Amino acid sequence: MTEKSLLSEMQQVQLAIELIELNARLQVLESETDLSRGRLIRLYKEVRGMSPPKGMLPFSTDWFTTWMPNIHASLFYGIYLRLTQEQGCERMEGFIKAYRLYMELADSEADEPVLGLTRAWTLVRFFESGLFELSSCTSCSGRFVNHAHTPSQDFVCGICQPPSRAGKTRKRRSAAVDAESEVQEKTG
Amino acid sequence: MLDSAVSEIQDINLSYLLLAQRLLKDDFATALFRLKLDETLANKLASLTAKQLTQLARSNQFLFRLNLENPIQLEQLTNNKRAENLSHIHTALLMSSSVN
Repeated sequence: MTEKSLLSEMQQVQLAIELIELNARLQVLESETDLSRGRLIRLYKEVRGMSPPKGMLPFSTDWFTTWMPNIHASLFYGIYLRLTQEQGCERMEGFIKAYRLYMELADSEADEPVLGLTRAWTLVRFFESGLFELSSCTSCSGRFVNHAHTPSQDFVCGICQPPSRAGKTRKRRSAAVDAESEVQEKTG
Repeated sequence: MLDSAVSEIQDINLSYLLLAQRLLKDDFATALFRLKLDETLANKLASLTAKQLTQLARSNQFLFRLNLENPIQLEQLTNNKRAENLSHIHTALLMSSSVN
């Protein structure tokens, strides 16, 4: 028994380290591992050299339906689904691999990817609790994150039909923040 | 002219096979995603010897083909003036969610 729990604890620590390196918040670690909060905080300090940020996680679904975040969230979730559903990756393994694949595409210019790891995790949880579903774009057939039970026969994605001022106001760095207000008008 | 095209095809075939093997050995699940290969086929591919790879590569046809099969999607990806800086994301998104 002791031997087995040692091994599983090692795997949990390994998972926690990987998540911390990818910038996970403490709440993600607490929820995805059995390690105690005290140990997680110590681990966090050792890996990142600072205390984990305090405060609640963002829990609104609306952020994911604003323009740029929606595009990034849809890209990430498409990869995640492919890995977990079609290739049979286990949930957290698939999550981390999908997130790394997403970062390859998203991280080229900005310091921070539009979809941070904690957001990505929240997104998966929202899907798991049925708050979101994927809608197919009638123009490009891509699948995009959408609120569950939204009529989507006429759905057109934010890439095929960007909001009018999208990307013109500031550099892409702040595009995500920018887009929030723009898309709120559009989806309203 | 034609000869050089055939030898280029063979080079690319071999490069593809070698890279595919390396990716599969490095991180199997991620490689499956990148290559869009089925697990059984990928296992087989990973197990081939250098000699077998060379034999496979020696052809006048490509061993692999475009992942985007829908010409409408190709048009959308290459001709979207309003979101040009998103085209790499759009391409990745369409290829990863191509379970149409």
